[in-house]
Amino acid sequence: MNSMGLTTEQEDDIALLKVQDHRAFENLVGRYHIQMLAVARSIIGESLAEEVVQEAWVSIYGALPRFEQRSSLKTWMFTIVGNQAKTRLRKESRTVSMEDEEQDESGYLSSGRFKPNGGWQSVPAIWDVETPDLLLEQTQLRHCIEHSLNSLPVTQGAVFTLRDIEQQSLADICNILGVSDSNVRVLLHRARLSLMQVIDRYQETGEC
Amino acid sequence: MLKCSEVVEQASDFVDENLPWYSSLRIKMHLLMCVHCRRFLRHFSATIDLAEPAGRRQATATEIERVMKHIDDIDSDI
Ligand SMILES: [Zn+2]
Repeated sequence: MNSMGLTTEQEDDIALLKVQDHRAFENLVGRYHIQMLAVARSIIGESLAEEVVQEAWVSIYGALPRFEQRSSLKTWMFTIVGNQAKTRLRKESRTVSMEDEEQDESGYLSSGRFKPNGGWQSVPAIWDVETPDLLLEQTQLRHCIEHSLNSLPVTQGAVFTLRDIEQQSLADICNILGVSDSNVRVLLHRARLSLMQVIDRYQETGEC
Repeated sequence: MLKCSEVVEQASDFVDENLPWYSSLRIKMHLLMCVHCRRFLRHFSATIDLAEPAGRRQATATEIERVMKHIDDIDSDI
């Protein structure tokens, strides 16, 4: 591992990518296309997201020989797709409605969950197993988690993807999505709690 | 004394180490005394840890092909 946290294997990939090796690029697309779509969707909306991501992949391919590794490869790619979506948004001169703000706060953030003095009214559910490895062995639960990630409001979905799936820093996420630090933190917290409630429900009922 | 509802509100900032040290300390003090918030935070952390393995999705062959088609078009223009 060097200071960028890259393994030698990843460095080999980067060397191949910089000379525009098709097989390496295909792997890169396979690995990040869905996440790139999540970023674009949150900025420009569903209808234009695919188009923006296609253009971003072309830009990334063209710019790879000049990639200087000042940030990690994925941060660099997410920044490119974020910027292209923002540029496109300005050209379209329309605003994409942000449904995230209106979301009703059920579950852990609802006032009904706590007594007036702030203590638990309805305590957290008991889980049969609590370790990520054991939880993930349950196929039906994985299915429920996947389903709930796909149904998150788009900006929450993008923030959650960048932070908890792709391990991007909060500062990078603000930059990629063009969202303030306080907003990113609120959206991330809501997404995590929604996901946790999915597991609560599964533990209690065996269903999504 | 910190309220349970406040522990829940600050849970993300707590696990991301985004809180001033005294706020973090208040949560730790609360956790020493509150079994429900301990369980809440255990589950909350497990949820975050399983996000990556459970949430990562590979693009389909069709999706990859569509991108590579554009790349091939560009390469043949040069
Ligand atoms: Zn408590």
